[in-house]
Amino acid sequence: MADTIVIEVARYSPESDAEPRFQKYEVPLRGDWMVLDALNYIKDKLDGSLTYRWSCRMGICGSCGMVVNGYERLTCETLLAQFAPGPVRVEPLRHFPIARDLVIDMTDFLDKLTRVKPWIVRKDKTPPPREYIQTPEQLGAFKQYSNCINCMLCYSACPVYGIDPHFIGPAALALAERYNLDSRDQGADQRLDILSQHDGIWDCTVIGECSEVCPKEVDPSLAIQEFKLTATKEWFKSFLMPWGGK
Amino acid sequence: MASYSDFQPREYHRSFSNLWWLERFNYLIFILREFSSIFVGYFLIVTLSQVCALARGPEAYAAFQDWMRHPLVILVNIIAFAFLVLHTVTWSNLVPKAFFPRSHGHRLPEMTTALPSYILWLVATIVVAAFILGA
Amino acid sequence: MSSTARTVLPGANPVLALGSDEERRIESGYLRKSDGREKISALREEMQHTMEAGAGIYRVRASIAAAADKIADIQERYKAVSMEDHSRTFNTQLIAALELGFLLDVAETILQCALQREESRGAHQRTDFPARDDIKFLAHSLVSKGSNERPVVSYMPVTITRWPPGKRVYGEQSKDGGHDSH
Repeated sequence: MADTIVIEVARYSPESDAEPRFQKYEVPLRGDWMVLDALNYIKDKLDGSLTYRWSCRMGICGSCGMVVNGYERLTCETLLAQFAPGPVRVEPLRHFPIARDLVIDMTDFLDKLTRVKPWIVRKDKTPPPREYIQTPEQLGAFKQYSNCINCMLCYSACPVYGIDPHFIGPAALALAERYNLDSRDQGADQRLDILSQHDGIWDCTVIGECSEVCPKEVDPSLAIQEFKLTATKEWFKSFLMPWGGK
Repeated sequence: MASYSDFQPREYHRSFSNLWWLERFNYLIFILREFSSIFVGYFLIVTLSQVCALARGPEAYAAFQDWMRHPLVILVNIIAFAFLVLHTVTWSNLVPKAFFPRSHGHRLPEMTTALPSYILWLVATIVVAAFILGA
Repeated sequence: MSSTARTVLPGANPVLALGSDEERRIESGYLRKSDGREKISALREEMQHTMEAGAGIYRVRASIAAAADKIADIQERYKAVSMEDHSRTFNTQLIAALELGFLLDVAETILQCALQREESRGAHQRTDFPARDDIKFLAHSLVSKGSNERPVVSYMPVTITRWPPGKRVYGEQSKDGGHDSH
């Protein structure tokens, strides 16, 4: 194994750049380093102006999502040595505006998350007298969708979101389904209206790349397709059995 | 360059390339999968023509067979067949990605859910082949 | 590049004045600075090693004093911290530099309090004062910035309500409940 490897990083500073450019740095090639370690080395020792998001460095906070050699990765979980002899190309997540270097503007993503009513909706007028009882089987019904760490890798991988930024997107739809399937929740009908709009589930063409890149195996594509079945059933019910109470 | 102010820095908006589907293998397979629907339509028309020709009598059917033997038609059919295989395989593999039975909280292996599609495909192929070759 | 430091007139809101001062401090001390020599990461790592060595779980006067001298030296070198990032957009190096300054202040405070607390209590274990001293040190350390910019430590007694302090013991010794009049 060679001693060093070249990292090619996207740079962009609104004050001085009209558009992003790439800058090369040579970093040590340590066998136990992740790509994030290389970025931290650059910032600490070579060029303190390199800017990127990171936090937990253990794959749970979702801050360090970037595109490494063409694929969406969490840089804290991506072994550097696998790219030897390099170079390693690190770019910001796709389909979001670039604010600075590897930092993207995630406002649209946050809006989409809030839009699907990601909380327990109850029809009771008063709070219950004790905590909700939920069996392990009931938890199992939605647990997978609750593992989302909001890293946005799925939005970067989804061409539909790239073509049409109005698409609500994989993570938000998986989050909606997480609440729909939660036995404590009574808000499925409210979410149905939001999700059945044309920029909701029906924008999805089942490419499946979102589930491919998800670091937490949330499988948002499955959530979307399952909800398409649910939405279709509801649609039939609405005119076959219009008396059904909501 | 748009005006820049301290509190609204100029963000860079990347454009979306029309050749996005060439950037990644999975994207290419997706586009080919969608494109293969055209050939499904083509085969539908060919099969309907075949049935119509059958219904109209031996001369009509012989004319149909002549048409099918034309080198260009054979070429198109080979390409269409390749796309049809792709279509069937990709769509069979999609079934478990849309809907799968959970057994005691565990997910069944994807092939288990995809298998019925494949079996159906095999059965249908055998039935149709028996009919055409036997006739 | 327009300056964002706003002129605040006399009699204006004091909070605005403080904000203006801070803006100027950051502008001149960090964003516009181009003559720095010391790397943020180098100072930070030195501080971490110094604190680990001098004020770890087990401390002694000599180690704390030595660490205090080192930290004072690092604080002096911090005045020449080098900034490569002069952008006003998402400047994480600025955050790192500001936080380093605060970390050094906290380190200095920790060391002063450790030096003056001549007893052992919890995670503060003085090998030169191994026993707990409830008479002198059953108190919170309060720190304020003195006139010479050095920390000044005073004490606020602790009011015991339910759980009196006791020797931490395990096994056989803890059978009597562990609470003594030590």
